[in-house]
Amino acid sequence: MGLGADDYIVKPFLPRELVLRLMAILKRMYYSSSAPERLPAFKLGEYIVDLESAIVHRNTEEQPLTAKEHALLLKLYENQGRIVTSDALCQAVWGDDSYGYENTLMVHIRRIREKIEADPSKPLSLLTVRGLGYKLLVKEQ
Amino acid sequence: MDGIIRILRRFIGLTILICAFLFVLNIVMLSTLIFKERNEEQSPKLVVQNVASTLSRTNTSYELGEEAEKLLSQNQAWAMLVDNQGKVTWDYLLPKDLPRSYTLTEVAKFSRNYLADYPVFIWEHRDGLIVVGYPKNSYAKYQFYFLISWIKSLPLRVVFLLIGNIALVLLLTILIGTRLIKSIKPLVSGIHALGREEAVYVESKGILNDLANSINYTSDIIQVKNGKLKARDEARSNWIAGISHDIRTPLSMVLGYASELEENTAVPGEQRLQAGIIRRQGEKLRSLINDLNLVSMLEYEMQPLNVKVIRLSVIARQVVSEFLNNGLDDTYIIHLHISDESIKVKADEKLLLRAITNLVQNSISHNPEGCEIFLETSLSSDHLTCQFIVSDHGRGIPQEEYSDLMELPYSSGRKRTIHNGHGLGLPMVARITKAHQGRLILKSNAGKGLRAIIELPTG
Repeated sequence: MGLGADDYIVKPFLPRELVLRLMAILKRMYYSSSAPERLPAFKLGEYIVDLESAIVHRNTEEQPLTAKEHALLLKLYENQGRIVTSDALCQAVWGDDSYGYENTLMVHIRRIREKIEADPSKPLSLLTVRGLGYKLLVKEQ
Repeated sequence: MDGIIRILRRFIGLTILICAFLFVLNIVMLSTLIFKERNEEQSPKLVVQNVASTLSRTNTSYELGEEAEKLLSQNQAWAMLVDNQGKVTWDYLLPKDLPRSYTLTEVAKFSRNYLADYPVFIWEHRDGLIVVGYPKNSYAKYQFYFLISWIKSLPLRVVFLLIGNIALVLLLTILIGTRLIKSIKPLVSGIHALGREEAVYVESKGILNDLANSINYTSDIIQVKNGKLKARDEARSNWIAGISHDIRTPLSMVLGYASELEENTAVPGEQRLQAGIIRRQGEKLRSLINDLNLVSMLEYEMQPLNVKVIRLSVIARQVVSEFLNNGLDDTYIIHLHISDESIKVKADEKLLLRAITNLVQNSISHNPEGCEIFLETSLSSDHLTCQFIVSDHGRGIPQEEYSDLMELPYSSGRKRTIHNGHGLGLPMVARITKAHQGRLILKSNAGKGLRAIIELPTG
């Protein structure tokens, strides 16, 4: 890897795995040539979250995302449909050795819900998994 | 070093004890054998006293008591009474060659020395001087004179003499002891080094030559054996690594073509399903090979540990979310109980994750009808160790199978064959725990679930 390789795969592997990895690398290449590091935008019910411009659209309304909220949403989106532990979220936002940020994390999640949920007390997209972390459900792309 | 000082102290103590014992013994011997005369009851002084007291005057002659006569004859001695004019007025077996009168000078002379070579002893009598003579060459007479000051200082001198003796004994024992220790010291350090299995060479000389040689010899043997052992471990590990590498190449072919067939729409449906089975079994084989490799590396301590300080709670949450994310069946319920968020251990994160995943996976695969699984973390009361506990309410395992579970499958230590799974799961957990200076404790009763405890030193 240190000599300039992008990725490696140990045999035995499945052809599909190889194809997926190749696709990932190609995607990265094309993105970086046309629009460098273009971040995705996705739809959560009525809301459209545009991570590239860090804005949440609803109809004509627009709400900006703070840096921390943006980082959290990005991490959740990358693992959409999967539980992301609160430790992993803290590490993504505050870096290594982020013990003790759990309460701060809860506040930030609350703020995000206020922006992307119709009823922040009964979240539909950003779910809490008790004792573990959070999960982002993206129904349509 | 401690041991050497102890030996020296013991040596000196023993020597002093021996000296003191000899001293006391000598004094006792001296007083009983030498100073005490064998015939104390018949010493010249007593005899002459006896003669003087029992010699009584009867008119013109004298009469000697019976007891005194007996004493004289026993000692082959003679006796005489010299009156104040120097004349012998009474005698008993007086030798013929002795004169019958003495001048003052002669009396003074024999009172101090000998009378014609006879050792004589004198005592005062009412009518003169009693002289008792012993056979020639039977007694030696000496006169002693001492200065009063010398007598007075005698106790002090004796004390000085004693102190001097003690000091000399101490000095000599320390000197001899240290010399002995000096020759033993390399041997002692050599033996200590042998205990640590280090290479040892002890310079051999003097009386301890033999010992030094055998220490050197033992060290050589240990080095050679260790080398062989290491080479054998390495060979085994390399063999497993080589085999697993050789299997990987054909396996990637099998996996590749199987999954190609599986996805090929030109192939009839049933054959595609069969190809899927081949692919899944191939994937199982792949994970088995990886596990085998990891276990063998851990077994021979060749797995590099990427150790860092991590919190147990992080690992616990990660394991649980992995299982939930990968679609855990609804019949399994995982409970997470973290007593203290801040429990930290020094561990290889990947290996620890693997160990805990194995334990949870065990609970899942051994209880196919579903069960509740509990993950707990706790800290020991002395804060030196912490525990990661994975328990379930499932079938459990009979107690007699515990020891088997830690052994590698098909190894000589394992008495029963494995029931299901590849049997590497628990041995791997045990070896990962061992590599982290911890231990794996299993508690179970058949039908009452299993409780696996990973105990690790806190970081």
